[in-house]
Amino acid sequence: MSVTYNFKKGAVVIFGGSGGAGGHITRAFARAGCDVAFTYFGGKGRAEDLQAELRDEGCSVVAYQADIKSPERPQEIIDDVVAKFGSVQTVVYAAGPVIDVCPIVDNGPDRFKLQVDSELLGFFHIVRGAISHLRESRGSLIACTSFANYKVLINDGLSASAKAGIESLVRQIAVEEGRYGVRANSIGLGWFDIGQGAVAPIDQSTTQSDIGKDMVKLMSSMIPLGNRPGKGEELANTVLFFASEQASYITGQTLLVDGGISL
Amino acid sequence: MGPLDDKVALVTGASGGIGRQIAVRLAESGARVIAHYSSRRESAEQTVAAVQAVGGEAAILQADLSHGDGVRQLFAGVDELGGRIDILVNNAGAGETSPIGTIKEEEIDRMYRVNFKSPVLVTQQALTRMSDGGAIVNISSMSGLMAQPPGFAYAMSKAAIHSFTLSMAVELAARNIRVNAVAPGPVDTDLINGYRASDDAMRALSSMAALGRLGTPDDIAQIVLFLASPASAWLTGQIIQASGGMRL
Repeated sequence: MSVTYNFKKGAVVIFGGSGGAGGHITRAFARAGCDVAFTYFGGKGRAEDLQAELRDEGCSVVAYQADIKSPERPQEIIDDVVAKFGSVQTVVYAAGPVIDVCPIVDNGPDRFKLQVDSELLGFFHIVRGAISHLRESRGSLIACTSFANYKVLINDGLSASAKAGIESLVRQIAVEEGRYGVRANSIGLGWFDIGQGAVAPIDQSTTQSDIGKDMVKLMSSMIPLGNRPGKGEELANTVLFFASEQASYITGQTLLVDGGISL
Repeated sequence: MGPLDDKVALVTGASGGIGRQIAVRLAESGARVIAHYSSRRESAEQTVAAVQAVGGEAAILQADLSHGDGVRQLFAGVDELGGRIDILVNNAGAGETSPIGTIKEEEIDRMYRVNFKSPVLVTQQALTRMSDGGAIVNISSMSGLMAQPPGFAYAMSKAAIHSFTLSMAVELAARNIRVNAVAPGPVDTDLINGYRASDDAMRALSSMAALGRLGTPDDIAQIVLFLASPASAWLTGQIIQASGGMRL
């Protein structure tokens, strides 16, 4: 039997909630009995499948298409969720564009700007859209970031740079919004068998984003717990814990869910 | 049924406010608790009563953990109780507030013995009785992450526990034993009784946290429960600050 988390009243909104990491987070909140809203950017089919899967299980779930580069769109969605479910207790950021892994200086300025616009500025739009509702519910904000700001991962600089900015914003919000009872935390993902780090279950020679056999071997060898990538459920459990009342005294923190890769 | 059914948890310093609530939360989730205490037997018995009140099971063992003989005595008691440990919570510790100008050698030694050497020796003994897949949670302190001029010896001893946590996480990963730490800020226990008479002092303590209040023993215990449970299976070598957002 797993740990039972106590949640405040209100819906959970997961930005990027149909993706590799986000999908596991969406499923976990929905199966824990929360009203869940999630957004997707390009993967309409996958989002519809996820919504259908969870509704078949009797979960309360609604999907929205969203480009979080739009300053207004996150707010529209969160307002709509509040109209539907009454309040929002937790907002999770689990979005992020797929990057070409390469030395940071090989990226042109447009590519760097796209990363900042999609992640850091996108997260800022989410914060602005969510904050009044989070103050009302004394809720919490959780950003999925990366271990790569604690141990440099070669060729992953685009993602790490933007996510460092997100962690900084999270700390700022933790201090400035603490007086309203709002908590804000980051969860730094290690190497997972989902999303951009996905490893085919039987043959570890391929990855969805074609990062390559050697990379997977190297990454796995760096992970003290079992020399394996993490599993989506192992990430989702920690997100649920941070969102729950059990973590009501944790704010402004980054917790690395990484099997020890950053050590 | 709970997530810690069939597990045995050793909690050191379980007669104090935080240790007691850790014992209660672990027991409530199904663990059988071995509650260690050093000198306050009555308080330890209250811990057992609190565990029983939530339908749990706890035994108490007395030991002075500031020296190796006391640690061996504790584990002789553990062996009489079956000799198995799945979860170890290194919670016992002592405070120290002297500045560098006046701290005595024996006060430095005491910090080293009680806050540094004792958890190391307890962990060493526990590991010979722990099955693969166990969990160790070290209770450290925010003091171990920040400047604390009077009380530096305490802060140093807690910083050592953070270092211990990191090394053990990597060393014990091969056995799938996870090692993490919880670093509390000021918590509403007997340890802050010295401040209670002054509203200003209490306000100052509370305002250290972004959330504007003191921690409670349950704030800490809930995090320990998470780290002891399978829900945190992918977490190791982490230091979770349980401070309401201090030093941000």
